[in-house]
Amino acid sequence: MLSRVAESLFWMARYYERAENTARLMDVNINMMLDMGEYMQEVGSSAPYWNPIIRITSPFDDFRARFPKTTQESAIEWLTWCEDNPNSILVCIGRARENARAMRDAISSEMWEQINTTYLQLKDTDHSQIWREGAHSFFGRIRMASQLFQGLVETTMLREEGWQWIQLGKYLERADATTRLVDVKYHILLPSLDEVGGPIDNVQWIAVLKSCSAYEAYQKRNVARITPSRVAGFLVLDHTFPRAVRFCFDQIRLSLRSISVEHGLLEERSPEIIASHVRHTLDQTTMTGIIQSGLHQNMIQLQDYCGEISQKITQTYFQGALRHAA
Amino acid sequence: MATGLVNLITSVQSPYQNSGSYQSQSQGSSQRQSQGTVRGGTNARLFSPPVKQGLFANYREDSFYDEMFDEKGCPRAHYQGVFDQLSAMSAEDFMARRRRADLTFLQQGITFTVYGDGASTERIFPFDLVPRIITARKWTRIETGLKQRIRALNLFLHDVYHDQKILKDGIIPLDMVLGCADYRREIYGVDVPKDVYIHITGTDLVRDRSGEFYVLEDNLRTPSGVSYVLENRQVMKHTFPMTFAHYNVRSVDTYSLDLRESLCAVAPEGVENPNIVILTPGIYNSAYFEHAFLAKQMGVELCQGSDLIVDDAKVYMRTTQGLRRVDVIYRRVDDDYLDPLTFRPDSALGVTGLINCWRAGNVALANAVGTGVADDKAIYAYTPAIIKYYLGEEPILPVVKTYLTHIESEQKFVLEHLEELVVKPTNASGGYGMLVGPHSTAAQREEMKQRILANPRSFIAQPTLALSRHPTFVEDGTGGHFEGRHVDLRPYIIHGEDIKVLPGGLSRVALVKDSLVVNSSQGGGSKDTWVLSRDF
Repeated sequence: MLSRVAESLFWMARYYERAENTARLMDVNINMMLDMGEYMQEVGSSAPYWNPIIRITSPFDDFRARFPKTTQESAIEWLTWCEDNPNSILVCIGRARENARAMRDAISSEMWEQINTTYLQLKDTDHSQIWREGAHSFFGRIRMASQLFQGLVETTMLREEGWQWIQLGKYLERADATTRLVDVKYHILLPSLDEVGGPIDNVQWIAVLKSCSAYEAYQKRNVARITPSRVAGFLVLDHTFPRAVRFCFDQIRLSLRSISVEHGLLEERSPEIIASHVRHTLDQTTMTGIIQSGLHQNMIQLQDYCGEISQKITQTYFQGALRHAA
Repeated sequence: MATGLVNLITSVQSPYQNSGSYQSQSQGSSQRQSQGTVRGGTNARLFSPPVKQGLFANYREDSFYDEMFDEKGCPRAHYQGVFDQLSAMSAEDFMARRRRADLTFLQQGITFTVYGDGASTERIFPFDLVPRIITARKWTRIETGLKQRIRALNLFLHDVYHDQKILKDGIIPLDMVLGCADYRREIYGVDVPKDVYIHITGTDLVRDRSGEFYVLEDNLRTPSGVSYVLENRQVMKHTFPMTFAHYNVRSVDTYSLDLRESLCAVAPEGVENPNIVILTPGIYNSAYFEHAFLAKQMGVELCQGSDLIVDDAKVYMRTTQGLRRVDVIYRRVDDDYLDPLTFRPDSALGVTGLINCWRAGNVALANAVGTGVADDKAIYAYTPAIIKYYLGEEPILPVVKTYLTHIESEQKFVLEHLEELVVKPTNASGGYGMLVGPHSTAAQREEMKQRILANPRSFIAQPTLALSRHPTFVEDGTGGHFEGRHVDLRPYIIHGEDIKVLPGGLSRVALVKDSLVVNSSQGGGSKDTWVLSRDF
């Protein structure tokens, strides 16, 4: 497979997944704020709810430079449409489409049409549509678009190397997003330490679960009531839930292995070595351990690993291809 | 809706009830068919001139050859079915179908890029839903004529890059060929696999007032448009399924198979299962959609220059597994940009050292380098002589009378008759830099005169042809109606082991009233082109 094509597949999947994650976050945030009316009146602003989300998905200073005040409107404008935000939904889907366009021959026509139509529709959408239609329905459509795309990947693509690059991009992005989500909740969202375990805290943790479509799954796996450490533990360490960090790393490892095998390589190459290491560490740890050694630090470290794997992939497969093939 | 559909079906079926293998499903529907025969079919036509109605109500052929109507204003036999169906259609219905078709093109990203004012935009190629139909008899002649032409031009290319017999025999002046900007000295003496130079051709044909087909120009470099032929057909099948069922339209679906086969056939000798790639200038090229489309249809890699690398006079592509050998390159990059070592040193689109690999016979290029000399618009004037010289045959397809402005007597004539002539730069495509005399201003003619005098070898002139016209949907205040618009036809020819002509082609239509310029970059649209396997 051409290195350029592999790179485009990888990034197409990452950008689409990123757009979906942002849509999820916004949907749940807006929904959660409806349950928090009393508290919000006290604070007099929705900024405490939007700032963390802006922080984890984009460079916060850029947002400030563009919008002096955090309001629901400015936050949604920034996260959904803004061309200045490299991670706004529109920009992400646009980049996913650009990548798809540069290798239209490598993906199925159905995949291309889906991504192209989604982009064209979104680009032409009147921004006030979110309010006329209702945020839940609007962001729901973006989530569905991404899931339809994944379905088309499943049903129209040959199970060859190209498919693995898409999986790799998707799960790497998702692992990264879940760590950010867990992190932001634990350190920023909570009004004060007294509230830990209180009703507000619970509402927020439920929101976190819902933003990963994890609420029902969590309930199935945990009979006991919601506690921060159980929720974080589920989102980080569960090996069956498809948005959990550990599950994602399992998939990352599998895809990297398949690509190596397809190339006739038995030994692990550098991205795979890191992925195996992370998997192994997650296997041997417990949530209590993670919290004791610092949830924030651990989440940052996982994000660093994701970044490093991505970098090694680029070096190994996208740029380094000057050897002659076996 | 249901009744509407039945009406359409019956009116379409009526004239051809006995001609095809079509069978009606039930007693009921066949009864409806016979009613249709009485109402709108051939019988009525025998006795009185048909009344053009509906969207055709004010249709006028004027003095042009009309593809659909004969000189009496009656639909030609092979258009009767389409005419009946369209006559019964309302503007709203037609426009609804058109919107559906346009949306399909947009969503599938079947777009081209328009340049101008420093910016570029993605646009769909306007598609007119009224199909252009060519009879089997006419097509046979076109097909034989094109094969003859391609065979001769290919021999001509081999000759001018080897023995140059045609120049020594004085058939064409030496400086006409060797002085041509597209003659590539760099490849003199290079042998190409199976002596094939022009693997893919798109020849532009036009009809004059008499209905006779003429060759207007040969595109022997990197002709584009074939993807629209294939996509237009798909969209047409979805938009007008019932009309289709009634015509014996020859399929265009095998194009990509034929193309792949012929690219395999010209692989360097000894290569069993060649690795074929398409070389594209990239996503900003106006024909990028087509490059990706063909790569997918053929199941080959679509490469940009940066994906390919030369080592030891062999071409490789950079893959995730390392370098992989490339045997055949269907290149959609112009000669000038192909290899910075040989041609333009500032090209970022090409592959450094590619021409060397090609000279060494380690990679095949389709089309070969240097084919531009054979589709130069001045050489065009000599193509009938070229056919006679190499094949000893009379040309089957005539060419348009061409004045060469570097010959003194012809230049004089051209300058005196600029108002009646079309002047074209010899070395440009896309309709850029043309002067259409009858539609020009005095200032434009004066400017052209100065340009010709400054650079006589760079221009040719031809009489302004009364191009044939075809009913085309035109929007108006109340919806829309049909009007005649000028059309041309670009069939595609593949030359590998043998020569194949795709049954069909791109009918381009000048959507602007009275315009003669059909190029997509200049407000042209396209039509699906039906070649019938059997005439009515």
